[in-house]
Order: sequence, then structure tokens, then C-alpha cells
Amino acid sequence: MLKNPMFLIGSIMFLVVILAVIFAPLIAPHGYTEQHYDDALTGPCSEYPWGTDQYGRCIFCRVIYGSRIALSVGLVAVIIETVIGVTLGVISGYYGKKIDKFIQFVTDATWAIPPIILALAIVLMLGSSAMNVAIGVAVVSWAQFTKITRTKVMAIKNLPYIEAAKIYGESDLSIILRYILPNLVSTIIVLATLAMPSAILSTTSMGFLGLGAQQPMPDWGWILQDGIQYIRKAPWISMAPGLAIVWTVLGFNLVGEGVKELLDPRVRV
Amino acid sequence: MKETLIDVKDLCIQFQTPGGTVKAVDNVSFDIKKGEVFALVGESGCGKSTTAMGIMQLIKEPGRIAGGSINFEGKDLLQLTRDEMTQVRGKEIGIIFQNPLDSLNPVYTIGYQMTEGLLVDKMDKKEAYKLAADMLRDVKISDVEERMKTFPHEISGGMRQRVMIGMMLCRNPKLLIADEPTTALDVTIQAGIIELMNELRKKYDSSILIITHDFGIVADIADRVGVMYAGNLIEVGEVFDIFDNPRHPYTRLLMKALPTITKEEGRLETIRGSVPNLAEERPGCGFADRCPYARDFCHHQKPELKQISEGHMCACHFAEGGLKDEQ
Amino acid sequence: MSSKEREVLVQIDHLKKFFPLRKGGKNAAVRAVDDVSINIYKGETLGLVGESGSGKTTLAKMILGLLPPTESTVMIDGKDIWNKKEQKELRKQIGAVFQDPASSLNPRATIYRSLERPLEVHGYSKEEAKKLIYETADRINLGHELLDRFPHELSGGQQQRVSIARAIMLQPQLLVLDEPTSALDVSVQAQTLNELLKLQETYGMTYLFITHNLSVVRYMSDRICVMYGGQVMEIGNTAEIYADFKHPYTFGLITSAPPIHPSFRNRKKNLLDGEMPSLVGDGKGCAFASRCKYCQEICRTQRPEMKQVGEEHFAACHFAGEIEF
Repeated sequence: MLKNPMFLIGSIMFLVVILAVIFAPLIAPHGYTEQHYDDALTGPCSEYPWGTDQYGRCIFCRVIYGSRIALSVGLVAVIIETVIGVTLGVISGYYGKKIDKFIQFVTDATWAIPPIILALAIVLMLGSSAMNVAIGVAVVSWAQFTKITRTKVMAIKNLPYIEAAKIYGESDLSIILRYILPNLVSTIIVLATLAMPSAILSTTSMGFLGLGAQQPMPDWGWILQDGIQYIRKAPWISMAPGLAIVWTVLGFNLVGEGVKELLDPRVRV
Repeated sequence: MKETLIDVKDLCIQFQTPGGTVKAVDNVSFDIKKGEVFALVGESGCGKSTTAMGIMQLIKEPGRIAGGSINFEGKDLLQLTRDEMTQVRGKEIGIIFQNPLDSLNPVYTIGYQMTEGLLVDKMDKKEAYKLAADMLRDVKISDVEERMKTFPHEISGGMRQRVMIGMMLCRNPKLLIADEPTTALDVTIQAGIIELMNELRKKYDSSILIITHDFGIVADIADRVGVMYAGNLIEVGEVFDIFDNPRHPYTRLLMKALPTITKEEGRLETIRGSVPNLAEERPGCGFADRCPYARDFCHHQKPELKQISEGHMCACHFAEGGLKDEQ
Repeated sequence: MSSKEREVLVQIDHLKKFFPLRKGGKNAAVRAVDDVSINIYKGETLGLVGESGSGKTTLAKMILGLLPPTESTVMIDGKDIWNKKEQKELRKQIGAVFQDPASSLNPRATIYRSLERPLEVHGYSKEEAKKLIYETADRINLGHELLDRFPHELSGGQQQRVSIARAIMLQPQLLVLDEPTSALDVSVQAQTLNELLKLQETYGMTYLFITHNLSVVRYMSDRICVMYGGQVMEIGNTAEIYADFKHPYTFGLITSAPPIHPSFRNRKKNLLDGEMPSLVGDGKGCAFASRCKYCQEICRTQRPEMKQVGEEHFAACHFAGEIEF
């Protein structure tokens, strides 16, 4: 870890985000819904470290609390896409033949649709809420999990020790759970860490379009959108969530790359 | 008596490992005469390939040549500079490996790689092409003109090994080192390669050092044989002496471990125990722990490789007699 | 004892395995195993020899229920390995040992666990399993201290012994040995082969011994089956195959094998020209025709029948028995 400075920097950035998530009430000087009309659109000062919005809400506090939404929605999205993607990938790679062709077709089809449009359609259909955004994001991004697990499963399913297990009568399910999945763990961890930043980006994009967590929840995307109308008068409003997004995404990416080197240098994503 | 081409004396090659210094090749001495096929034979880890790499000075870190001399045509290869050794490699000593794909460059055609070395020797381009084509014919490749334009991955494993041999012989080296040249090939292809090497050695009168674990190949092509065990050369002799009258207990047991019989005729001999850890200091004979004839002093006193009859040397305290076929 | 009195354990009748090709039209396929019929008798060792690409491993996988045949099936002890229900019953009756000892064992499991799992699958209790594992370890000279180790901590010979232990623990009737000693040194090979012979004597198992090493197969087998290009070329008693071969390919194969003594250096050889042809074809004619010195017109157009050339000796050659080698 110390040999890779990027991993170290990423870890520090990652840690800052995690601390913000856990200790948001302690870090933030105000509540994220507290309105101070007298101080509306105040610039950064000692009272409001990153200024206020048009309702006089502390931007710093909203962004700090907002990390909870961004991360939890991102995490739920990644968990859903991991489960869908890995399950389909294992089935596809292990059984092959027609089922493989079908799953490959579905995977390619998902890839052919612009992800943000598909995600939008899904959230509009389900109604806008944080959970539905997570579902929408997951539905458009499981395909890479499928592709990579499928390739890995195909490479290991014919190893002599797995064939030996088939010969003494191990069932397919047992082979998948006992022999194939343990071989996939490191790949899945790497993929999931690297999927996190893009999930956060997609989540905040949804928030930007007003589809994420509902007002007055401090969704980073929505704060960014909200600030645009005051971009000349109060540029700090949009800047804060913007920087937070860049910080988090970069941190996760660096950590993801580091984990990849550590666990499985051969995985290509 | 034929002239000596290469004389390896007290060659020591060591590897520094976390577990200690591994003496992969320990005081190995042998010579190869002009026009002779010498086989170094032994099981995995005995140091036979390391010896070959030592002669070529291709030992990689953490290994190093720790001592000895390699006299090749009046010069000691170990005293040469890097550049001088590069000259010797390929031009005077050629080497072919088990997997020819590793030694052929995938992005150049066979013709280009065949002539490359000749051009280094300042040969005319046309002349080089003609020589390379003739050489491919010599190694029994058909449609030579066509083959010269193909890439290594487009031909079969057996053909690649033929190309490798041809490429090495192009520059007419005095010594050809073949490190397990047929191990990756099918027997019918292997037989063709062995036949080819036998023909070419007669035609070009070059010496061959063949490294193998297969006594069948030794029986098929070698004039003289050196048997290695745990980094030591334990027996050297004419091929018939080694097969008919092996004097070292290890060679004897190994000969009887070869499946040359049917199960109705009896059982194969086995050797108890396993190869010693080469990182440990061993004062005695490397084979003592597994030897059915070993006495106390075998464990403390290292036997020298000494002559026991004309052209037959053996490193065993009992080599000159006293070895009875009872266990 | 003639084959008619012996009990058949494995019955293979016109077995085929074609791998379809994407290119080259509807019927283009690699004919990996092309119409193979053999019986394996109870208690014998049938050696299966051939070069890479001869179809011997594909055949083994169909017998082991790992690769479904394109046509026909494999009957073991009267049961169909490709019938789901019967396959389940047969699982206890067959074992296998493969070439690469290192990858034959689960790298994440201890040796003990690797041996325990098959017993667990077949409903043994922990205590029963433990007893059987220790017994088997003793039988094949596997030190008990090795049981708690992981595969990478063992030598190749030890790893292969564990694979053998796993295969024989359930006392199967049939053991398929696919190049079990090819990755081992000569002295370890001798040990492993002797152990296999001892186990066969003890349990009366039937062996299908697959190898490209002709001296190993001669040592181990009662009968030998020679394959080439997915087809059986010749099958017969070991002694007859070596001393009185009738197929030109067997001649080529046996004389290509390196000699056991330097005095055989100048033996009469039938060196085969060229390489194994591609297995994509129409299946007409003899698979060996393109490399056969004795090839005639009929060999290219008509697939030779298995001809009886000795009491238990068959050769698939139009001119079997007529050629003087």
C-alpha cells in the first residue's frame, strides 16, 4: 500500500468521505434543513463555512449530510448490480449453450441503450425516490459484472479439480457455491469498488434532474441544480456539491485501482 | 581420440534464496569432444538445465556462477566480456529450448529470423536468403519459399522445432545445446527430430549437448552420458557403459525404474525418499539418504568423481567394487 | 481366458463426438471421436494410446459423464452414464486421475478436506469418513501429517497420490487414468505405477489407462487400443500389439518411441511424414490415409472395417494382415 502513492492518496480521500458519513451530525454546525432567511445567499464566513443558499441553509452542512445519501444510494445500487450481474454471469459461463447465448444477448442489448436514458425511464416509471434511483442505476450497469464473471467462470469450470468433483457426484449448485464462487471473490470485490464511483455519478445525475431523494433531503445533484440559478450571485452553492462529487469519485477510483493491484492484478475492467 | 571442444571444470552455480544458498550446480566437470553427442540426464531439479544455461551464461538473478572454468577452443568463456560472449552465443554455440515459441519472435517471419543472424555476420542478403532456404530444406521443411514468409504461430510445434534447429545450424555453430528439445512433442514428431539431429551432426560434424530427463532419447542419440543428481555429476561414461554397466547406485536404480518390462515380468524398482533440499549444507554424498548401499561414512564424506575404467567415471565410494545387488 | 467369457464393464458402441464449427456450413465439425466401439472387461487394464488430437481424452470425458456424446452413449455395468438417474447411481462406480497433479486438487482446501468431501456427498458420517481417509492414506503410503496441508505444500508425486486416494476411496469399479504419470519424474513414476498395480490387485478395479508413453502403457496394460484422428486403429493384447502389429499407424507409433537400449538405435522405423491432419472432414476413408505409406485409393474413399487379425486382435485397415512390415 505504501509503495503505491496513488492508493495512499485515494485511501485518505476515501476515509474523509466515510468520516463525513458517520460523523455528519458532529461535523456540521447546523441541521441540513435549518433555514436562516436573514442570512440567505451569504458567502463563506465563520458562521457558514461554505455560505448559504436562497433559503439561508448552510451549504457545508447540506453537502456533509448529502454524503450519506450519495453513498447509501450508490452502495445499494452496487449491491443490486453485483447480485444481478454475478448471478447471470455465473449461469451464463457455467451452463453455456442456449442459456449463455440468451444472457449474452440481453447483456449486449442493455449496453446498446444509453444508460442514463434507460435509468431515467425506469425511475420515471417507478416514481422518484432514493431507492428507485438505486434500482434504476443498477439495472443499467450490471452488464460489466456479467461479462467479466462469465469469462472467469469459463476459465475455471474445466479445471481438473472441478471435473474431479463432478465425477464423484457433486451437484452443479454445489460446484458453483463451493468451487466457483470462492474463485470469484477477489474479482467481485475489485469490480464492486470500481463500480461505486460510477454509481455515485449516476445517482447524482438523477438528483440533478430532480429524480433523486425528495426535497428537502440534501441530494448533491439537486443542490448543484438548485445553485445554478444563482451561479453568478452565489457560485459557492453549486461549487460545493460539485467538489464533493469529484472528491468522492476520485477517491473511490484510486482505492479501486489499488485494490485491483492488490487482489487481482489480472482483472481487466 | 577425438579433440576436446569444450571442457567444463568445477562449474558452480548458486542461487540466493530466502532459505539459504542453493547449490544448483556443484563442482560439475565434463568435456565434449568434437562431433560428439553428449547427454546430460537427470530428474527435475538436478541442475542439468542450469548447467546448460551456465555454459551460455544466461543465468538470471538471483543465480550466479560461483566458480569454475569453461574452456571452449582455447578460451575460458567465463573470462569473456559481455560483448565477446554475445559473439560466441549463436555463432559458435547455438541453443534450442523445449518450447520454440518462446525463442521465436512472433512479429517477424521465419525467413527474416533465419537470415537475421547471418546478416549480423556481414553476409550478403541474397546469399543469406539462399543459405537459410537450403537449411530449411535440410531440416525437412517442405514448400520452403512459402514457409519463409509465414509467422511462427502459423506452423505446428514440430515444424517450429525444426525451424529452430535450422536457424541455429545456419551459422554453423561448433556446439549445439538442445534443452529438452522434444519434450513438448508427440512421439512420432519426436522421432523425426531425433533422426534429423542424427543426420545433421554427421553432415555438419557439430557437437551436441542434449539435456533430457528421458533415457529413451539418450539411448537413441547420445555417444556419452553424464548423469546428474542434486546438483552433482555422479556418473559419466559411454552410452553402452551407462546402460549395461551403471556403477552409481542412483543410475542403477533409475535404470530399473524405467518401464522396460510388462507387469507379468515383474515390478519396477523404486527409489525411497525424495531429493534433498539443496539449500542445506550436505557434507556427504547427495544420494546417501536414499541409497540402499549407504554406509555411515557416505553421509560424512563426499565421493569424488573418479575414473573406474577407460572413459567411465563415477562418484561413489563403492564404485570400484563392493556394490552388491542386495539391499 | 477369451473375451467371450469375460464380463463387460464398459460398453461403447458407435460413439461419436463432433464439435460443430461456426464456419464452413451446417455440417462442418471437428470429428474428435468418430464412431468408436470398444468394450472394457471387468478387472482388466485397457491402455489407450495415441498422439495429441487422437481423441483419447475426449473419449475419456464421455465415459466419465463430463462431455455429452453427439451420438450413442456409454454403458457402464449395464447403466447408461448419460441417463440422469443412472448417472447418479454410477457416480460411486467411477473415479478418475488426471495428468496435472497440482490443478487436480482444490487449492483452497486441505488434503483432508479434499478427501472428505466426496464421502460427504455420498452420505458418510464424519466418523466414517475419518476412518476411511486414514485407512486409504495408509494404503497408499500417504503420511498422516500431510493430511492437514494444502496442495501447494506437497510434491508432485504426493499430490498425485492424493488424487489417486480420492479416486479409489469409494472403491469404484472403473478408474480412468488420464496420463497420471506424465508430469512425474521417472523414480516417482515407478512408485505411482506400482501403487496402481497393487490397488488393482487389492480391489479388482478395472483401469482405462490413457497415455502417450508407450513403455508405460506396455507395463500397465492387458490390452491396448491405438487411436488416431478420432478413430480406433487397432486393439489387441499388449504382447500382440507390440510384437505383431497389423496397422501401419501402430507400426509408426511403436517404432517412433525412443528405444529402451542404445543397441536398438538402428531399428527399422516407420517415420511418419507430416503432421496430424485436421479433423474437419466428411469422415470418409481412413483417418490415417494422408500419412500412410501403404495408402491405396480405397483408403481415401472407404472407411475400413475392424478386421479380426488374431484371437483378440482387431485392426481397422483394408490391408490388415496383408502388409509385411
